[in-house]
Amino acid sequence: MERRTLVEAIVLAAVAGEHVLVVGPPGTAKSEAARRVARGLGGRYFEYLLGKFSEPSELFGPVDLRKLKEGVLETATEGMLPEAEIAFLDEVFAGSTAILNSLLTLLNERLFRRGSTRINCPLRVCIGATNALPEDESLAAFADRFLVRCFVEPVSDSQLEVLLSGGRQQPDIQPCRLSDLDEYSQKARKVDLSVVQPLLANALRRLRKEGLGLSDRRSVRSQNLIAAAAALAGRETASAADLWPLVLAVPSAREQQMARQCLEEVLTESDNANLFRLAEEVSASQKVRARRLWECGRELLEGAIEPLRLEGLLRDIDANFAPDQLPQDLAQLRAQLKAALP
Amino acid sequence: MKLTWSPRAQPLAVEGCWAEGPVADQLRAKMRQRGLKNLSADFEGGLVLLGEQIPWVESLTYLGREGQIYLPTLWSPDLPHEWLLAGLKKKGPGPWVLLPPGRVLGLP
Repeated sequence: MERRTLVEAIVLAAVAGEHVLVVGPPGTAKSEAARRVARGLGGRYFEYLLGKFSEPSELFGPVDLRKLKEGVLETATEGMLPEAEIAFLDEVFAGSTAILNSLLTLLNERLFRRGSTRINCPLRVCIGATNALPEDESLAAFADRFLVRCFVEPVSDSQLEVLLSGGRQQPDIQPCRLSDLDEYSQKARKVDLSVVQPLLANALRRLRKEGLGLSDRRSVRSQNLIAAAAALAGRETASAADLWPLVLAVPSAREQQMARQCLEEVLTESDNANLFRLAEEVSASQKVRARRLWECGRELLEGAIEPLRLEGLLRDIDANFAPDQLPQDLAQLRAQLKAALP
Repeated sequence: MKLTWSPRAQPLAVEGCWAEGPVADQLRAKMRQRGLKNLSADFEGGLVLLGEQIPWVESLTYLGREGQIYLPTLWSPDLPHEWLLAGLKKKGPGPWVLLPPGRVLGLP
């Protein structure tokens, strides 16, 4: 998964009120992607690298000594995880049982309880990062709280130039503001799922048939992602075009790959004007591919002309669309790209 | 029996291209100009070039790969892969490029 795709996954999860687990080897800029989203959204951000010696107070806040003198056990949560709107927890499975138990409640119920402290947490999305999925069964319940699973690899050969230039410029990503995100969340809660539910049931049956059954909890909660995708696409009723986030709820990279193949036919309907990179990664639908190619072309034409990148994009367009199948706006852009070549 | 083809719902990833006539000449010229050394093979009337990074020229046919068979990224033959493979093996050792409507190019 490329970095901008990861950003879209975080936005989708945030709108759905779900959390994201990013799995990938060290050095794949997992934390940088999370920080950029947090900066873009502008909410209160909390970040922590968990280790086996981390103390609960390092995440949730220290005991309030002033109150303790009065005989009340309270936690001073200011600037800590219970008050964060966006959170990034690196090495999320490395925390102690005490930390993970408190996290479980916080992630699931948006509630922090300790002594007489009881806080309704404003957390929109927690991004957990790990180098590998935990094999320990005792961590399974905690891992299951991260509905969206993203698997990142070192960038592909063809993206190295983009990585190198992006790495120096470090541009902030501004997917949307926190207030926009809340607005989309409200719309997502009102999305009508009656059309998509029979399709989802069929898709779940096909996954089960291939031995890729999701837990009941993940199956039910995948509807939150579908509703969020529909809301972000501007639809009040979810349709087959919004079914693609189901793949992100499949727990492992290998199973996600199998799910993509198993659901290939239904995923060809996928479309989303705001999450086209993510939708393309998941579904390889031609509709979202056309949107992504168009967006790339627009960006290339706005910047300094780089002939090799223009050629690369023309190659992608020609390899993916027969001339008579090119959407009109992409055909126009192709002509502009061709004209811009020296 | 004539081989028929259908458009692919999912295009293949680019692993080469087929250039025909003047398009092949333009491609060769760009390769020379850029000092590119992709694996290539000349055939009557055209050129096959392998690799992902191919200079762009108008009217190339991009090729993807299914096992030992290079096929147009956008088109799929209406035959099971095993049958196709069995037929191609009779024509010589692979890998092969199969182009619509039924041209077979054996790669060295």
